[in-house]
Amino acid sequence: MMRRSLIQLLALLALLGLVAAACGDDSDSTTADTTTTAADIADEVDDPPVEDEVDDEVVDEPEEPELGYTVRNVPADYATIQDAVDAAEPGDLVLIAEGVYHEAVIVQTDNIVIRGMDRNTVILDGEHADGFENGVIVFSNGVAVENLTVRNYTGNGLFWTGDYGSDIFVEGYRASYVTAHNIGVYGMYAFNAVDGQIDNAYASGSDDSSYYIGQCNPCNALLYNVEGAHSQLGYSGTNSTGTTVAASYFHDNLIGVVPNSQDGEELAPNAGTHIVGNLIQNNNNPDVPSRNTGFQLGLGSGVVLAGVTNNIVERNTIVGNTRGGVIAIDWIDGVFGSGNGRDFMVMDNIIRDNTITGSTLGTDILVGVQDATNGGQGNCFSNNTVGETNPLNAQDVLPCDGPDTSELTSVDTLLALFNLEPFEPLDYRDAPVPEYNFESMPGDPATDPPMPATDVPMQVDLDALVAPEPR
Amino acid sequence: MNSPRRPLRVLTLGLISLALLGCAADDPIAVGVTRQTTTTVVGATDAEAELAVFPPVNPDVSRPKTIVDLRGQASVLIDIRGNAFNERFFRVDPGTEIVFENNGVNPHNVTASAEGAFETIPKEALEESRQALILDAEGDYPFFCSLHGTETRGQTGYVIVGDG
Repeated sequence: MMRRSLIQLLALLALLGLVAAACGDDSDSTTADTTTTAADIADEVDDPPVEDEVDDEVVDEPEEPELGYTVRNVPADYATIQDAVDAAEPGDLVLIAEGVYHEAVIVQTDNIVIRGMDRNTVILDGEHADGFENGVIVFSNGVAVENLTVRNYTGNGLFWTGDYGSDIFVEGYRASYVTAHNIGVYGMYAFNAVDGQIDNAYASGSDDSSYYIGQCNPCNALLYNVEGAHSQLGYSGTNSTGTTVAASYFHDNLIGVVPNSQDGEELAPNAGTHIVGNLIQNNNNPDVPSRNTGFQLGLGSGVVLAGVTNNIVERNTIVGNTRGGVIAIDWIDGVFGSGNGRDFMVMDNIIRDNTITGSTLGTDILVGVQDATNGGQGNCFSNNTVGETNPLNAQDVLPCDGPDTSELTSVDTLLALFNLEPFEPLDYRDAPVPEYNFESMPGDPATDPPMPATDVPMQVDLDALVAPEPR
Repeated sequence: MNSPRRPLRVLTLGLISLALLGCAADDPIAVGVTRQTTTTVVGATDAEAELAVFPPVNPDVSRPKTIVDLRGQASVLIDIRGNAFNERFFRVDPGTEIVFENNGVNPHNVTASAEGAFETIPKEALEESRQALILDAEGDYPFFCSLHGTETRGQTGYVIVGDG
């Protein structure tokens, strides 16, 4: 009698544990179903093993702990990544074995994790082929991609996108320990998406930018410990208010980091990007893919604040960018954009506590406005280690804790100063290919539970970040 | 309802790019650069063309509930920005010039959601100038940008030609 009660109690506890787990039963899956249903538990409660059949040594075999998700193995269980993604239910893990996969994956299920067994040997390769615009395009919420490489796509490597025409935002995205290279437009791209992070990533060889966050407010987006190189722009953020770029490295691009405002997308202006603790070095490279003649004017710039407001640039090392270290400039659509949009003033941005050196035009700091009688438009510079600036002694005439006494140069004059020599951009397919020795994700990719992008971005102590050493 | 198949024309306008100086939306549209004509599903053989329904149908794409009426105009301008077609769902008369203009940050193409309905307007062309699509045959023509969407998600559009 006591043994029967004990069996019933154990079954009841198991039932309660099952109810607490976030697991769906996938009757269509081609993988072994490890889920035990409530009905199974109920059956055991109603029909426990009879006493004379019970082994004295074992009453109930201990069950495997419930995973709470299904692992969908590629190619062991599914021939393609797309097949596994289509079969996945929210919370599942799509786990990809070593190999090269010629696929363009579409994700429409919430809260799945797509993970490679090894960052450097799990490769999605578009082969620059027609129909292979995006390595992974995600329309759903909470999707994370980790520990793999995407390369050779004509459009975008990883792409999370809402649908602005229907006011649909993607909520929750993450890319971790991912490499994207030789991608036509953007290496990693979030559009009309909020609550996301890209961390421990490398992207290069794109004709727009390695990383792009666009059209969101507030974006609540974080780029942390990423590297962007050999692209037109290392990072670009159009109308992406509420984005943080931290502890990252941008080098050998045409321009390093460009938050900007323009009417080419909705939700203008960009009214808040935090650029902190980064190394932005030697962005003087004309041998990059490049699709925008307006941005080509900025060849050799470290950080360009183009028509943005309330951005903060602090504790960065911005060195070796020969045209300019930090450039605050009005966005003039007829010069930099399509010509069919508004101009945007660069206003109220704070640049402080950076090391900014290496320009050859006396423009470690440069401020360019359309109306030179309008003063500094609230942009201020304090406590930076700099060489020559334009205006002269920028930190004295545009301090963050004092009056604006500046006399500025108009944008027209500055553009003449740049005197850019025309150059032929590289085809993105010909951009340098990185060595595949990138750090893989920590832990065990085979067994670590999936973490969908539902609690992102991660919390980072930004105040603890310091300007890094040049490399 | 059956209607006689009428020539489908895709007109490509090769305006010189005015990107640096601006290309105002109300500039007159130059006519008569490159014209493609077909009376059949793009890519169909003669035998297939005899049997094909035109325009072809993608069963995964449904007609939207709300359609903006742009009939009565010889030309309509579809502005592309923010990874969206503006207007997105609209109706025109047969033979209307549907002019796409890319004023966005990104490259875009215009791809028929039903294979063979019309030839894709490639992103390279839209980077250079406005591109016009002329549809003579009445029917439904869903479309999308393959860089930023699929037939059913993301950057999609839908044009109905005629009164049906």
